[in-house]
Order: sequence, then structure tokens, then C-alpha cells
Amino acid sequence: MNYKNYTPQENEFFAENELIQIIPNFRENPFDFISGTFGPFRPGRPVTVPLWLAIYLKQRNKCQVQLPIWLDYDTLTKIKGIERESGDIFSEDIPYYYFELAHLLFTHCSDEFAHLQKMKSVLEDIFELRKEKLIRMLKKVDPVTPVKYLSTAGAVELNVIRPAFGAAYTVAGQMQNILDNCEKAIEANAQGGASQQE
Amino acid sequence: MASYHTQVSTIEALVNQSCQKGHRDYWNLDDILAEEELVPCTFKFEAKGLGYLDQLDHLSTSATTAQRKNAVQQDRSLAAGAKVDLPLWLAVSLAQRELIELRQPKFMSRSFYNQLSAGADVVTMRQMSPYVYEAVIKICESMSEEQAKEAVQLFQNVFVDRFAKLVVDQSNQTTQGLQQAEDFSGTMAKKLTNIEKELFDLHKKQKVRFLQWKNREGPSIEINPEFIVQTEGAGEQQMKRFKTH
Repeated sequence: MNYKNYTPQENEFFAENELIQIIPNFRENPFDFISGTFGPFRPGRPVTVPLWLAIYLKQRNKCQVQLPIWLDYDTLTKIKGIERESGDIFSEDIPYYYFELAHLLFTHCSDEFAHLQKMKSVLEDIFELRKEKLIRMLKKVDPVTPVKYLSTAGAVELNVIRPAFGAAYTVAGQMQNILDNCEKAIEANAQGGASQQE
Repeated sequence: MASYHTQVSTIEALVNQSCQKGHRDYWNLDDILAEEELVPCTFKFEAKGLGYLDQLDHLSTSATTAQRKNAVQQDRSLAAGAKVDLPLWLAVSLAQRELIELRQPKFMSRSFYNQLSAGADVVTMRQMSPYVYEAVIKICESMSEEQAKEAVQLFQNVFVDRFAKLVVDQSNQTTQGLQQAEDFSGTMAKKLTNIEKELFDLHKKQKVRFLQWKNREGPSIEINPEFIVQTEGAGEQQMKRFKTH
């Protein structure tokens, strides 16, 4: 059952639409796509393009990819610290598709990173921390008010827990509906009984 | 009404229907199986020729067709006040016509309630019935509101408790070797009811899927080679252009 949940592959596909800066080493007129017009491309001049185009050009050695600000060893270590200390709040410094973006850049632009292995392990840690936090918050289903503020939880951790938790919340919520109906009926009965006595 | 095609999940569909009477999914197998659950009932009137209902349980499991025919032809009658175990689908519709009185099944007895409130996560609910939650919801429709409220309240707490302790916590353990197996719950399956088992498998499957994506083992978007063959000569070039990892 995954009708309300995207697969990780689909999530990665959406992440490829995020914009990123590249420095091309070729001269070309603007490209017209359905999602917009990107360019013009001049050697040495930074230009913003979708990630899939950046990867496509990178694979042909047509450009250098400029890594996003948050994808940096020191920043990620700082975020990891924040994630560990802040109770129920997720760090706002990384984008929604942080894991997919980093994953794609790690595989396709590995030469741009200074500490690739260290970065990978820090990112993995952040993901694990966030996932555990999310599970801890949602595990105890509260059927009366099933609302939780998830602030800036990322796409991956939501994706991993969505199917089972979604179904469980639905089941608990439906039972709550039955309870509410019962309560209404009891109240109506009590009022009916009272008016008869009068 | 929710469109038929979106109800892929059996669990959600099942509970959804129980809430809105008259909107049952006729073909839902889990729904049909849940209604097979036996409920103790008391007949209010004498039932002519329904004597075979008395041994329904026994007949459906072991008896041959000849024995069954015999029993039906014996033409016995059930006396008023006879206590008989009936399947839920029959019991509910008879109770609606006020021909019988529903009594509490064993999973709605006081002692089982106490057992549940003492610690729901150690109870082997599957022993009671693989469809406890569904059966309780269905029975509650034809019970007094006070009784129904108590039962649903209890089973809701039990469900929430067991989901946190059995489904979510247990699924963290033992991931190795499960990549191939489709049945994730394994030994856990003896303890969980069908809803819980489905949730467990769902959670585990999503975790495995995520791992596969991360290690690039799962399916990926590829070019259909047959499509390229059509454009002969340029085929090689096309392949090169769209090759992805």
C-alpha cells in the first residue's frame, strides 16, 4: 500500500527540481524548458539551473557545481548538535529534500567535496537523529487531538514512517469517531429520560 | 462516498466501513472473514427447525456433508432461551430483528478487560481472534451505548499501546536477512492481530525500501531498449545520451 506515499525514488525525482548554482565552461543561449528558462550560459559566470540539468552537464564536464551553503562539514556538524539538543524541534537550516540533494551531489559531484566520507557520516547521523525524534513524537497516538507540529521535518524521515503511522492514526481516529457517536447517543438518551420524568 | 479505487488498504477500508453503516465494501475479504467470528447469543423465542445451529461450530469444522445433511433433516427446534454460538453476520442481523439477544463474547468479558488494562502488549490477542478490533466495532453497533463506549474506549487504548510497543519498537530489531522475505513479522505474527500484522509489515517494508534506495539496489528509471531499436542507426547515440546511474 503506497497510494498516499511516494517511493524514495520518486522523492529523489522531485528533489532534482530544486535549483542550484553552476559555473559553466561553455557559451550557449538560454535553454527553454517547461519549468522555465535557464541561462544564458557564459564561461565563468554563475547561473542557476535545476539539479537534474546540473548533473547532466557535470557528467559531461561542462560545468562546476557550486555546493549549497548548508552542505558544508562545519554547518552540518553544527546542525547535528542542534538536532541532538533541541527537544521536539527540527533544525530549519536544511531544506526539505536535504537528504536526497546531498545524496545526489555525493554520487555525481564527489570531486567537489573536501571531506566526502566525513560529510556522508554526519548527514547519516542527522537523518537518524531526526527519524528517531519523529518516531518518538508520533509513537504515542493521541486519538482525541491527533495533531503534532512537525515544523521542518524533512522528506526522507517522513517518507520512512508515513505508511504505518498514517494507517495507525486512521484506525485510532475511526475508533474515536465511534466513541463520539456513542457519547452523543448517551447524552440524547439522558435528556430524553429527563424530559419524560418532568 | 470515497472512490472505490483509492481503498487499496484492507485495514483502512475495513474500519472506514464499520463507521458508516450501509457503505460496506461487499468484496472485502477481511471484512467477510471478520464477520465469521462466533458470538454467543440467547434465543428469545422458540426457533422451529433451527436445531442445527446448535452445532454450527462443530459441523463447519469436522463433519462430512452427509452428517451435515442428517443434522438439518433431523428438524429439531431450538427452545426459547437456548444459548447458541452464531457467526457475527447472522447474529447481528437477528439481533436487529430482536429475535435473539447478544451476549458478550470471550474477548469482551470482564476478565479479559482486566488482563488488557494490566498490560496490553503481553497479551496474545491473536489467540482470541485475528479480527478482534473489527469484531468489537461490529458488535458495538448492536449493543447499548454505555457498553459500546466502554469497549471501544478500552480497545482504542489497547490498539494505541500495542502499536507503540509491538509494531514500532519491535520493527527496529533484526533487519538482516529480511530483504528477500515478504513476510516480515515472522515470530511476531503469533501475537499480533491482522491489523497490527499489516501495520508491522507496512512499516518494515518501507524501511527496507528506503535502504534499497540508499544503496542503489532497488528499481531505477531506465530507458526501454525496445524503444531505441526503432530508431535504428541513431540507437547507439541515443543510449549514450540518456544513460543514467
